[in-house]
Amino acid sequence: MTMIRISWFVLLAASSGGVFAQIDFSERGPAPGNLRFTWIHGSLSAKANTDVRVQVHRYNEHTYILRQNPAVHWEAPFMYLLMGNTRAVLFDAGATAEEVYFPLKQVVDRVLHRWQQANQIQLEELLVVPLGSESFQTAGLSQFDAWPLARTVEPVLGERRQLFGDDWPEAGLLDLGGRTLSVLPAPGIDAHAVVVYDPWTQVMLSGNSLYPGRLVVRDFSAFQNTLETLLAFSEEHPVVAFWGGRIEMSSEPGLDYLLRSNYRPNERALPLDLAALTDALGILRLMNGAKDIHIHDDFIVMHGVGRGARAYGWPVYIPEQFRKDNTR
Amino acid sequence: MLKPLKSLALIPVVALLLGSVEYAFSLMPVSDLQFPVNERAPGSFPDLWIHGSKSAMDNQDPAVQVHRYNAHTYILRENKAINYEGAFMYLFFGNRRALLIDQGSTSSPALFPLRQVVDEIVESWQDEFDQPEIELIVANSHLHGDHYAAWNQFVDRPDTVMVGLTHEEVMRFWGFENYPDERIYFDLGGRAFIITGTPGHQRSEIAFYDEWTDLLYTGDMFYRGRLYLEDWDAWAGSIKRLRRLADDYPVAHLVNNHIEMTREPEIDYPIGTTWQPDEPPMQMTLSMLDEAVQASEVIEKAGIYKFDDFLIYNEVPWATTTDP
Repeated sequence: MTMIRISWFVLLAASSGGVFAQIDFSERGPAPGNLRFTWIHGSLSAKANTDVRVQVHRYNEHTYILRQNPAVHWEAPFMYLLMGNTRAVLFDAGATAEEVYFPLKQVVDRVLHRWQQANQIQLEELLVVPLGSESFQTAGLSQFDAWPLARTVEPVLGERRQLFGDDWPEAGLLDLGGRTLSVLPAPGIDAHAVVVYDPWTQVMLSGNSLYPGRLVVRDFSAFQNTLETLLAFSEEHPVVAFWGGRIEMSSEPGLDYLLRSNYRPNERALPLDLAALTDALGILRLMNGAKDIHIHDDFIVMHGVGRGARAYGWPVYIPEQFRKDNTR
Repeated sequence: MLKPLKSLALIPVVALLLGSVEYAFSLMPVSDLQFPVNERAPGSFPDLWIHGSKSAMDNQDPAVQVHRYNAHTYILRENKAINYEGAFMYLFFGNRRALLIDQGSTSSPALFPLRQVVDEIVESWQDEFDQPEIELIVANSHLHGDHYAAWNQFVDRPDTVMVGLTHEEVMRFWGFENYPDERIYFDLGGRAFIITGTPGHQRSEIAFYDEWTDLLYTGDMFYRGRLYLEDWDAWAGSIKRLRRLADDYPVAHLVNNHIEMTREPEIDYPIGTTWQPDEPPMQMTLSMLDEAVQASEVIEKAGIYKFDDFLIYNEVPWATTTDP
């Protein structure tokens, strides 16, 4: 036994002694991955919750999805960790700053450590890039301040142009070493929102701009432009799924969980497909800038109202006796 | 000199006399507690209630906060990290009877052991005041799920009267014949309560006035928070009814069911929040009641109306929030 272990070790050491292994991200077709499981979703009593604080899911060997426990913060945002041959990037940084409640940095550190070991790659840099400026995307940024490997990129023009290239804010690229992501500006819900496309998995990380939840439009024409840009991009590039930053919908079509609910046992799945994008754009064209709440099976478009507005009587009046507590 | 024979013969007589006195005492009520109505029994509130925590899963507070307002009055609060409602519950003691008003927002005894907490209070109170097994009345201020969720924990409790969770049961138990206008005089073992109807937030709501402590308990129809009114006219009538009650009896504090306001006037904590680090006191004053009475004469339309210490959500669905 010992002999075999030693010989493995020697082999590994020999191979890593020379040129580092190179991952080929250029193969055709979407890199497969798996999402066949249920996210942690809080508990009836958050005080009694015993789930992990940061759930780590390996979609495939170089793509990880992280979720913050709803019992720590009800927004329960998703974070995406993508690795390339030279750099890794963490999109979004969660809703809680305190490491003791939400040890994001520690979890990312461990994942990267194992990944580097397994792939015989020494990463040069970890980029921490919020896809928008909302507090549930940026609160954990400060955890990475004192980590030499990490470089945080605040959602401001200057820092982003430095990272995404001189064409920003028209369009940007982010090279992770053989895995080059496209970055598109996506204002409308959040003026500082961006959307990232990964040609290897063919997934669009749509953050706060398109996700199964309440799309609260703040700048109508900007958001319509964003969706049109995304659609045009999707016609030129294959997109297998849109992964947003949060889930607010239940698996009942058109029904969302209330704001601040920290127990969501029946959440809708995370990915949206291209039809969701075309539907959202269709809804926006119908709304035509008017104050409205439009309920789609997989998301809700709200314009001119706060994110806590409900649609009782609007656009279709629901008589009281047919309303449930959670009726939209 | 005393004749020894005679004095010896006296012993059984004296013993018999003494024994009968003891027997007579045992028939009398065990040290009757007095609840005089002409002087106000003092009590105190905590400086700060437990109020959840930034990360709910890291909360270390007890599931139920037990505050002893005075010797015979307890105020309980459900931990906001268990349920954001953070509802208050009240336990009043009289001779051989106790009254539990409301049972919180969580059913599971594993998550929210209200029965166990109440049993412990009752036992230690019985020991402290040398009282025999007392009867517990399990009642509700009104019939909403955030106030009766743990009702089920008491159904198999011995020496317990369950008032019930329907309008009819509530009316029958308290003896209402002319709800809500009527004033019911209720005797909790020598401790006098006055109960009156206060619909508006919910159609079976009642308010309790305790003549001993001068506390006026206004439930969910008047508290520091969002007053969700399903029936404006009924509420306007109820708030005036409370004012008349306060005219007729001295009131020390108005006590109630929730804290939803911050210390900043007109600003509330958003619904669903599980952390309220800067809560104002729960108890309210008569001048706040006056403000509500005034509002009840002015407001005509459905909508949200802001006051320093409470917000009126007139016929606005509770799930609607004012988040930007």
